[in-house]
Amino acid sequence: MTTALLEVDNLSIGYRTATGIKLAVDGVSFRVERGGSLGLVGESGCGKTTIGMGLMRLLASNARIVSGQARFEGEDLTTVSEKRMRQIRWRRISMIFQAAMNALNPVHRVQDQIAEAIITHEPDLSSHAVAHRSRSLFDLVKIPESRLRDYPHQFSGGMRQRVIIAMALACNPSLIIADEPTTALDVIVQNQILGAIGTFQKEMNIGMIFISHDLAVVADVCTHIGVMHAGSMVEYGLQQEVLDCPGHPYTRMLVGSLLTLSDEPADLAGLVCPTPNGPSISGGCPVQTICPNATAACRREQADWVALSRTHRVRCQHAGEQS
Amino acid sequence: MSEKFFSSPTPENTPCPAANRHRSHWVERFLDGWSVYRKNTIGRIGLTLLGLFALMAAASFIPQWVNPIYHPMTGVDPLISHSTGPSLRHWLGTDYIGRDIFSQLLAGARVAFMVGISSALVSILFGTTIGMVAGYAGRRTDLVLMRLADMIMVMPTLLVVLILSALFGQLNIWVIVLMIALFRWPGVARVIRSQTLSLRHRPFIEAARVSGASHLRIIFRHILPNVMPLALLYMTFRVTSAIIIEAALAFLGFGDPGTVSWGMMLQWVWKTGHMFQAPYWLLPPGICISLITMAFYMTGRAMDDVLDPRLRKEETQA
Amino acid sequence: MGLKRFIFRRLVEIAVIFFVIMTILFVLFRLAPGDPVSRMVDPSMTPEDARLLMETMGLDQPVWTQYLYYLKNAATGNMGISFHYGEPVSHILMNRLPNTILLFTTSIILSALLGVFLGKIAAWKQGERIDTLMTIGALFCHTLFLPWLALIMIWFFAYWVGWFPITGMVSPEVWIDPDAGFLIKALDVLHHMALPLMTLILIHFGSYLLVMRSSMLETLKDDYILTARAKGLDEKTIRDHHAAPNAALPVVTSVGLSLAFSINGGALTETVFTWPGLGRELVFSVSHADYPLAQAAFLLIAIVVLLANLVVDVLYAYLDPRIRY
Repeated sequence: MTTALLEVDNLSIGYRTATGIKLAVDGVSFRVERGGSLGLVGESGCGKTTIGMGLMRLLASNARIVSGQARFEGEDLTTVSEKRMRQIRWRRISMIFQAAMNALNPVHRVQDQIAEAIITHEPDLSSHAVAHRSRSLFDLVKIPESRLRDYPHQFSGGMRQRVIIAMALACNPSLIIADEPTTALDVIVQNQILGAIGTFQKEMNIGMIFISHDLAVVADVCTHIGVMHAGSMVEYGLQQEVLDCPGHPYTRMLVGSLLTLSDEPADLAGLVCPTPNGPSISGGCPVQTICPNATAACRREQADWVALSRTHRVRCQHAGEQS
Repeated sequence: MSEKFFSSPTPENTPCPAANRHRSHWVERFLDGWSVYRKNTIGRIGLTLLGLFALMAAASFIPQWVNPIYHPMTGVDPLISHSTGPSLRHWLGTDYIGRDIFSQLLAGARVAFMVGISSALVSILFGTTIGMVAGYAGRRTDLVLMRLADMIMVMPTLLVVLILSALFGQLNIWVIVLMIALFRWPGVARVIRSQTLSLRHRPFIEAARVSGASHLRIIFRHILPNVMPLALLYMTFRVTSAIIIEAALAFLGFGDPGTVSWGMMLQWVWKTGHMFQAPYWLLPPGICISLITMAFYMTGRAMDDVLDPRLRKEETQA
Repeated sequence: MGLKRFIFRRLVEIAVIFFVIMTILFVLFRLAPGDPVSRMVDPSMTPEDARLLMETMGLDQPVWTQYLYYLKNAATGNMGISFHYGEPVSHILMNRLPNTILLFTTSIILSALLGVFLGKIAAWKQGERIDTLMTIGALFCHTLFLPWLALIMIWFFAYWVGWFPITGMVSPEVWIDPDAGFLIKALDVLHHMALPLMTLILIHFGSYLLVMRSSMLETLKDDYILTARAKGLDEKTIRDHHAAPNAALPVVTSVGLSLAFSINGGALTETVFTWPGLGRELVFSVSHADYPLAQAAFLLIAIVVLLANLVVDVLYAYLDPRIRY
């Protein structure tokens, strides 16, 4: 077995509250291969963004990594010094954020912001080289070079996202964490962006963690899918496996809620309950409140991982029982 | 809390249940706000200081009642006719013609409150009314009123009052108060206007319109109670600027010669050349002006903290 | 581009406002009790001179014509003869204008810079002792009474310690000396300017500090700060290069809003320190019933304030690319 690019082992992240540490991420494990991509799917508040932030060590001041490891290129991201982390950031792992208006600094030109990323990590590069790379990056994302001197507010949402992608690629990282990169965009642009991301990833052999609440989007781009709910990962496997034979009731509901253009209207399994933020239910499976098959055993304790195949595992007491 | 109001039977002759609810609602809110305010350290310090000054103002009548030589303006001490330092006879010393400085300080407190509060009241009155009208009436009225407000805000109040006093001679304290108020309302007006704008489209206003209420009634019955807390908050800031402007005017020599204010005291120190030798005369008035400004500011800030979340809560309760 | 049009539009607005102010002054001058003529013409002038002046200013004509004369004279800069100085008002004021601009502009720029610098640090170290110290210090300075602070400064620095001169802008010996070069003269002015400048800065930097601090705290919540962190930038760069330029914009607005307050303070400072500027001239002329001078001084100050507002707005538009493009 080749060494994965990133191997996360039983990661737990919690927030300090008045009543103690409240876990937002509870014992999550996964791998990302070089050139592979993992889609982390789940509702808002399920902890997927927290994982991304935690890996980059960009958590809020009242949050901390409680336990677990994140082995990346031979180093454990949870324990490296802040100084080393700053070196890793962007150079080895970069991020693609939502194309929110303020993801880029409004008072700096776009080319300066890209150049800043490059110069911070490769200070010996000549300004000529930096400019050249900025131009080729823009070529890569298909934005005219003339737009390099513009300010962020002069770009449309889709173009801004492409600028953000270009910036993320600036230092040729090994891993990109994309946090809801297409959420703020309309469907057509979304498609373009997804295509762009997929292309770079394959061409440059970059590993990716794609965080989204939209299973349909993730289904398009990712090789592996990890389904999260209330801070725990409940299912993990190859894209086909998870989509075609979802082992977990929650995943089944998610898949079932995907609208298709097939001839029969699919049964929309609605998820009607509010999501608890993190495992607030004391013990037991995090999905017990919305699972139609919850039993007393589910309420008592959370299930161990059950392997449905070599690459597909599920965390459910009743895994494998249903067709 | 709403159950308490809805469950009690409404008497037949009260105007309407909503209005009735308003009145006891007010007392409740005030008490609520007070308990929050009390915990705020800054607010407590501010209020304590204000209390101190209020005490001074109230006590300003005492010295000359005790002995006419202590009268701030006309007190003539047969034994002393020049500036002296603090002594048992004169707690803070005497000014250049032997008048007691301490009683002048007390009188100044009275003037400060008088000027500050009355000027603030007038400018709040103006500002709130104009703000509400601007926020509620059509775009053209709004535009005209706000242009006017902008123009007035640009003008340096002190200098305007100066030029007016050039024309109209020595000014009476109440004229000064009025003039200060006339130039300080735009700040309030702008804030009240935006609050009114946000209230204008609330359902309860629409409901009032549909039930046939006239515009005036809507403005004063429905909008005013909701913007009142904001207006009161800004009043504290108006008070400070009024006090400072009056003090500056008096300092320059354009105040009302018949009133003893702290600014006037500073003028005397300065103009009679006693600045360098009489710190007991120079320091107290300046310290008082700064302290009262700070006190009002602190009170205002604490009120701001109290009102801010409550303002938002207010919008959903109507 | 849009900027030129913007400036042009504002200049038109300023002209309108100024026109309104002039008209109001005109009306007031005639409404006030007493003989309006005696306000324009020094009663102690010789009859011939008085008559000549009256003709130039159209004071023997009906009101409407007077108004037109008034406007024409203002446009050509003829605002009458000062009672006190006996010279044309425009000469006197043009002489004073640069002094005021020097003191005023320097004090605003320096207090804004100081406020931005300290406010940035205060926000960065929010909650720590240095933040509390700076906030309280800013508040304290802001509530000081300006004339009183000026007197204290004079008392301490000029009288007691003797480091700075007590009054004026220049030392006569230096300026009369034909051998003194520009540098010596400039240093002399700076020497005299130190105290009034310090007083003004102390009073004003506080509010800029507080604005910068709260603006910075808001800015730190913005998304691009997270992006900057993710890029691996160090804290200082994030603070100074990313957060501060955005947070400083509301300070510029705040400067514009407090211009009236600043000009009040400027006039008071000039008076106490006997700095020969417009503000002091206004106060002086009002207390000496020198009407032509008072009126002209006021109008000139009004123009300065209006133009200063414009400068601040243009500066803001220049600094914020979202407005420029």
